[in-house]
Amino acid sequence: MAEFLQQLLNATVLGCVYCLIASGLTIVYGIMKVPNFAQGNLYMSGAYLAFFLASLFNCNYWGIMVLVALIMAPLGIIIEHLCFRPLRDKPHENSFVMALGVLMAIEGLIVLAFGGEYVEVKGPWTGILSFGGISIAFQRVLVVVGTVLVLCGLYYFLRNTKKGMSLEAMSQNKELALTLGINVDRMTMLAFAISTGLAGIGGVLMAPVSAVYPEMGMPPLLVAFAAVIFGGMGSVAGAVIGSFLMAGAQVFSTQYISSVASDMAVFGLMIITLLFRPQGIMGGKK
Amino acid sequence: MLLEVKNLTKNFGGLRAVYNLNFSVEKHKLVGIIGPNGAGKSTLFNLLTGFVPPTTGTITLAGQRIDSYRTHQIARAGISRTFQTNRIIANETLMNNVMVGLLAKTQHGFWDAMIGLKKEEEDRFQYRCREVLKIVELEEMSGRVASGLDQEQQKRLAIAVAIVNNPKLLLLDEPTGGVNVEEIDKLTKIIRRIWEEGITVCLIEHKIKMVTELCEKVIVINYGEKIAEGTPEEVMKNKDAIRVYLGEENVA
Amino acid sequence: MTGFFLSRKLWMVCGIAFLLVFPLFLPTDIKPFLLYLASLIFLWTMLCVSLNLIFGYAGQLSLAQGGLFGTGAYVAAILTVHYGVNFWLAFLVGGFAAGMLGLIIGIPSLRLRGPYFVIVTMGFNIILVSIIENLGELTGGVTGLLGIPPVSEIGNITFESKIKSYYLILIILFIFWFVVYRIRNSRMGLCLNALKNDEDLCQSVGINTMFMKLQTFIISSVLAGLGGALYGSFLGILTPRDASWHLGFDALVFLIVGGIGTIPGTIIGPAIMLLISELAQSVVQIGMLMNGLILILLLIFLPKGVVGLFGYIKDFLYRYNEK
Repeated sequence: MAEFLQQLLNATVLGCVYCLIASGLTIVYGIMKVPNFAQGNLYMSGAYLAFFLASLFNCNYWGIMVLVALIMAPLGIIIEHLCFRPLRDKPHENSFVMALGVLMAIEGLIVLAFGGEYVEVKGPWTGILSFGGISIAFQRVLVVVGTVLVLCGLYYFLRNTKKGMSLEAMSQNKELALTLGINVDRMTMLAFAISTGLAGIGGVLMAPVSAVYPEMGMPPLLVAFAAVIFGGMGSVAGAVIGSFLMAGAQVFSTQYISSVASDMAVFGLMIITLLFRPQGIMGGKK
Repeated sequence: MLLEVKNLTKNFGGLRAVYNLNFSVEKHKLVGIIGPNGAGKSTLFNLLTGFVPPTTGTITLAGQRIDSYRTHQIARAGISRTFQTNRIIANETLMNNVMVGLLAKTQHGFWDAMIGLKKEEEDRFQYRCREVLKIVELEEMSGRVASGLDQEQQKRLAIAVAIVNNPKLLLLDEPTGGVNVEEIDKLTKIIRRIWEEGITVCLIEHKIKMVTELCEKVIVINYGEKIAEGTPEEVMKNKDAIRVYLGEENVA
Repeated sequence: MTGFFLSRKLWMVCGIAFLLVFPLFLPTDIKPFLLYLASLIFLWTMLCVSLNLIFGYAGQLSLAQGGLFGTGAYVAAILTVHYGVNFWLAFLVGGFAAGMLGLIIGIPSLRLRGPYFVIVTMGFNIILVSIIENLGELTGGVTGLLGIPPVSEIGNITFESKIKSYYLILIILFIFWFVVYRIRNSRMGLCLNALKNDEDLCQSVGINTMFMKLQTFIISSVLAGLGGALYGSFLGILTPRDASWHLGFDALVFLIVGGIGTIPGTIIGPAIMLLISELAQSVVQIGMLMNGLILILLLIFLPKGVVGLFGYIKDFLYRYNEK
């Protein structure tokens, strides 16, 4: 029983990371209809940025958190402006390829700046919390708490502020939103800023607990996509549900079968969703 | 009876786009569908052609139930359509654009790419494409690339693509949208020509004059429901139809 | 006069002739190296041809081509290394295996529009690499498969020498090009172009677009697999990177450099990029950053690649001629 709870806890932590990546992914997709493949590497950049700020400026963890969010959000706007906006009138596939280009460029940049080896980021609290046969590192608790706070903030923003509601309306139904006079350009920038910010925060939260290396963004990217497909493209709630489902599938299949099985479980869930309910569980009509 | 629509309803979430629609189209008739913007006319076409599945109701084409068919199956069963936006392949010639309309009738897969088409079949298709381009008065431009066409010519091209494989029923979605007055006459003539070839035509239009001149039967739709049905004269005198178009004061 | 110079057929004939006589005019000291490089370019071209078919012609971006290439490579290599199978049989089996995989991936993902196909192909590729790394006994795991024998003889022609290898790979590339050329200039090519431009329109005239997309993807998978089988035998060694989506991504960059949707683009891209990478090796590392930046800049400024550039020049010359 204790082991099961332990795995559940692990899945929760993992799910939180996926949430942060997936919600940004789904918001951007909902608005631009482009899957931002670079999202995984933006998460990775958050972790590296944390390392950079910690090692160069000896910044404390909370400061890093704030700074990363403040740096990543405008970065997202810049990327949107330079890379995606010029492709607005071109065929859709060009944007897909552009997203891949950005993915590669970011990874290449990080490798150039920091080398290909693992780096280490220290969290504010070391130490482990143990009770009833389960243990969890304090940092992991922080991941969960941080994610919950961020998601609550996001929820509040999307439901209770004018900008947020416009954003959500636009990602659900673009044509309708346009007729209501919502400014597409501004919304797209906002969507990107939120999405990169979330990914960056995710990177900072996870950096002390997981390995920080240039390809660290790729495995979560695939899971995040599976989560977004499961939940329905454009739906943040769906992305959150999907993230925890995928995390659970991964953790439990690794535990009881093997690590390859965990990849296949996620992929399998994605395929099943596509076969039987392609719009996702929260998705509307086709 | 070529097309029969019974109790057709389509809901998009909470939005009722089409409600309890009942009508029929007899073979070789020219039917017009009119109604204000947003009345559900294009949705009706989308339902008839399988782009959107009905919530309830049945659609029958020549005795065959088609409401659960996929789009390409409905097209093969004999319904062709044009769209409100000009859907053409911009980087192909007019000839090739029309040829696309024939692809379903011919082999167009890998094996045939390797061994090639027989000359007589190729000739037959070319002949048919040219014939159809003649009907829509675009024959002289058949070798030109479609991106060079203006709005009105594109509409005619779209019609050509839709009729090239001899559909049983042709659905035209606002064929004169954005077209100026002289060109309307040309399009009207072309539609009549198509009808004379034996194709049943059903068109959505806003230009009442054109509909009354061209169509034998008119159906008026508003808020997804059928308001009136009959010959143009009958519909023009129908109180509900007048109310929909000209407001309450004009009923009398 | 300009008309003669701009004739596409002329360029095609010259290009083919060049490739055929290329080995005869090389200085002997660097000849083996250049033949090796050229053969490598041809193999990359095969991968680009495969990607071009599904993406350039049919408009479906596949990130699985690397994995399909690698599948063909590994299957053929496993058969020749562990079971002593004749290369040509292994070659065909590799292509078949890749084709089957294409069928399996294509069915759930091609039914849907938008990015689903891209995402599923990416996911498939990542899982495939994971599987390859874990099947240590068959595939050599992370370290890779060594000692892959070169191509077996046909009749009494052996293929150990670099020059024979060059011509063999070139001939197979010609066959790839022939297949793709026939597709493009046939009804199927028209259908694919129409599908790429407007899938709804195609459906509304009765074309079963799912079947077309699936068919095309399977063919491109087979081509990738066959190319991979040849690649494994040529290099003699395979690592999981040879099945990774990075490989497919590199091919995408090469294809966009060369000119997507064109046949000459499939060789121009790899030729330019591999040459640059050779020359620059002493100076700077062509890595992901370069590839990524090149891609970003091309997409914004020159999405049609080198072939597109030639197209602009040709248009300019035509207009100049008319004055």
